[in-house]
Amino acid sequence: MVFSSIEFLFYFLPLTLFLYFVVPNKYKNFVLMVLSLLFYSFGEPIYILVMMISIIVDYVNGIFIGRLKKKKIKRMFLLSSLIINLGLLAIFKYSPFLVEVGNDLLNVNLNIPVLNLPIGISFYTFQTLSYTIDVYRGKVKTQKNFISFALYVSLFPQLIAGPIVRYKDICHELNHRNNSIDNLIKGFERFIYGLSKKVILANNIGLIASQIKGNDVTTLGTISYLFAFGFQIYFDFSGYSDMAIGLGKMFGFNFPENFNYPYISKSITDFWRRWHMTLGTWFRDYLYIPLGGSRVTILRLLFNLFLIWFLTGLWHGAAYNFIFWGLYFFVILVIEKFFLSKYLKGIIAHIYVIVVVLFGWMLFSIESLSELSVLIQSLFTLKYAFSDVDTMFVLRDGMVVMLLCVLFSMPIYRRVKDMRVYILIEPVFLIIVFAISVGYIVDSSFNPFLYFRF
Amino acid sequence: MKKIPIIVFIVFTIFNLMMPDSLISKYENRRLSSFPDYSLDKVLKGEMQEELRKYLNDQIALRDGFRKLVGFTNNHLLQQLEMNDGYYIDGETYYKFTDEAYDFTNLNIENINDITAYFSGKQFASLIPVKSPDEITAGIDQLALANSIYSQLDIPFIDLFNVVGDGFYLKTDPHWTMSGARSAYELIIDKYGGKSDFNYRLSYDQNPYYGTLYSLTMQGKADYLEFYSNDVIDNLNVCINTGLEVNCESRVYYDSNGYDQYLDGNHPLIEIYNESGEGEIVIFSDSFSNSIAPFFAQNYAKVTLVDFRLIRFDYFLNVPNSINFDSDVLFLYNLKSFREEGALTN
Repeated sequence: MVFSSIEFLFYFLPLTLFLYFVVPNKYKNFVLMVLSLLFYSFGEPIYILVMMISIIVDYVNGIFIGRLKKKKIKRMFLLSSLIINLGLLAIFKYSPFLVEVGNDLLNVNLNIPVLNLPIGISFYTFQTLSYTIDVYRGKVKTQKNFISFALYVSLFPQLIAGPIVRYKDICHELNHRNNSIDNLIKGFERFIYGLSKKVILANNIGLIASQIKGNDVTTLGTISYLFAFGFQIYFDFSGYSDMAIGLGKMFGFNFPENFNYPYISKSITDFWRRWHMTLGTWFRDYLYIPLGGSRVTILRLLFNLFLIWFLTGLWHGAAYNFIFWGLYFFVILVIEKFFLSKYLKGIIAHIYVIVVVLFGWMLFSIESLSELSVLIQSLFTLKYAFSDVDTMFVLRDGMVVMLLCVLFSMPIYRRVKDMRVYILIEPVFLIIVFAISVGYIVDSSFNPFLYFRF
Repeated sequence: MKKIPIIVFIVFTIFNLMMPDSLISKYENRRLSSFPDYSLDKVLKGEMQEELRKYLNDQIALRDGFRKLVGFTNNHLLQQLEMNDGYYIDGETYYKFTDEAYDFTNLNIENINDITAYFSGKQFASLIPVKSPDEITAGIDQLALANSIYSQLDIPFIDLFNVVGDGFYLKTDPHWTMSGARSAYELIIDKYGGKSDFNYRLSYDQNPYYGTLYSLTMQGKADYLEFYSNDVIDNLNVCINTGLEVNCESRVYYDSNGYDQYLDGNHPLIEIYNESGEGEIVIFSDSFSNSIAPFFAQNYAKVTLVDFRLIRFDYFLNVPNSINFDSDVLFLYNLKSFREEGALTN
């Protein structure tokens, strides 16, 4: 089930809110857990078993790690958690790709397994790992209540597409949270903003991207496609994060922010502090710093960065292009770290970020090397026409959507939210954008969600 | 103030739950989904959830209102001409005519050339241009496509591109108006040597008509269908062969809905008889022929409409007492159907 659907908006969400607020406090976690499992099973009835395995394994491992005194045995249980969770991720997400790589390297022809990716497995695997690792490190206490732990893993607002909520972020709120009308109202507002970003902006700009992709290749078309795709993925993912944060708030949880206007960054280092922040924080806390962080030799630092960005790419998808995409940022970040950062100032810095990020989206969005070759040739050679009638029509038709995307990728909300006039009109504004968003859901069959495949 | 959005949400949710199911979508001209049958097997396969999703989407309260809001947003706020594979420009809705659909042109050309060999009367082909706005230069070059088709046919053609003008098409539908059909008829009948200077009485349907294009954009005003009549048209006899039975009546305008008022809509074989007419013509066509046929029936003693989407060619050849192979023949197809429908001519 996706948030931008009628079944969620007018059936699942109201039912969940109703049951959640009418039951006594001691049953709220149970109700929310059952409904979260129902939410997940609506789309993936079978794969709920995979998630249940993850929940049980980490609950049991957490208990043992918390109780045992000997570090060696504790480490064994941590290792068991890592192996089982990453093993499940490897089987369901990476095994087809690993066989493909094996076939390429060894020049053999093994059958590539056909497996459906359990929705959200990349997100909940990292979340459960954060729990066992932090219990092992003594940073959080063992969660002895199975319902509370199962709720943490399965909590529907952040289950499918993040933000990646680490256990320590909400461990207190799992049993002590503020279920107030004020949180409900604030959460609903945030949810509407997220829904409108996803449905009005991301879907419309996504249509433009797919129309351009369907047309004959031109230079202007490729440039427009990269902008459109860049906006689509941003509004899609950040919209979903906003919805998740808003829903969390409605049930009394405070999830971490996941985006901070990444397209206004002045360097790629800055961009990655603003884009999918919870993934960056996860890698920093559970991999980069344990590997020594930046307080190591230059060679070791390069290795650490290489590993982080290789894994960041791989996390996004089991395909070569995602790895190239990750390593592309590794190269850029190393150049920035050792050379470029001091020169990045003013408008040049903004242009530099946009160019580098859009080029990255080209690597990210391609489905084959031949597609990459066509895109690069259309940008840097005269093989293709600069523009054509179809490109110009799509651009004319998408002009206002494009301008809105530019506008809302900048922090204008921060500037207007405290203005008296905005405070007065905000409720009406929210009702209108909610109605338009529902209209698009009713009307449109184009409602993809890019981050589901992760 | 801050509570207003969530109160509206709760009120609408309750309102939505209390609304009864609708059977038909008036604008989309289709049956809406009903509550799916339940079975564990369907649930495990995810089929039940998919059916439930369609059902809830179809049955949401104020569905048409939401779709109109989207049309308004796209057209007025986002300044988009294109919506749901259609265009809305200056009060009219248009199909998007691109090369995305599978191309059946060659198959249809081949079939027409086969059919022409059976007949010995005057034969022409005429392709009706797809309703298309001047603003859209993207998509298929219709004139080039029509000329390419004509050049491959074994019979001469009649170019209809020059008769297209204001009022030629309905605003909310891809079909021509009866006035548009009349202007095409006058050009075509001249090639067959028939006269076209008849006098008519023109009346309009009292009910607003929202054609199939309206549901793409949910924008614009309704059409009111035209009905041309005179003493000859009023006395025509029509026999409709549904494939199961033949029903004959003395009228060309039926009490059906929308465009189906012309000759009761699409049927495999329709014969129109005029006691004062001379000769026969067989018109191989799609739904566009329903509104033009009454004009031809003023000239001919018998007009036969054949829709190969609903009847096989070998069956057509064996319809008892129906086909006179000395008849004149007209192949009259909408260019979009000719390109995209494989069963159009056989």
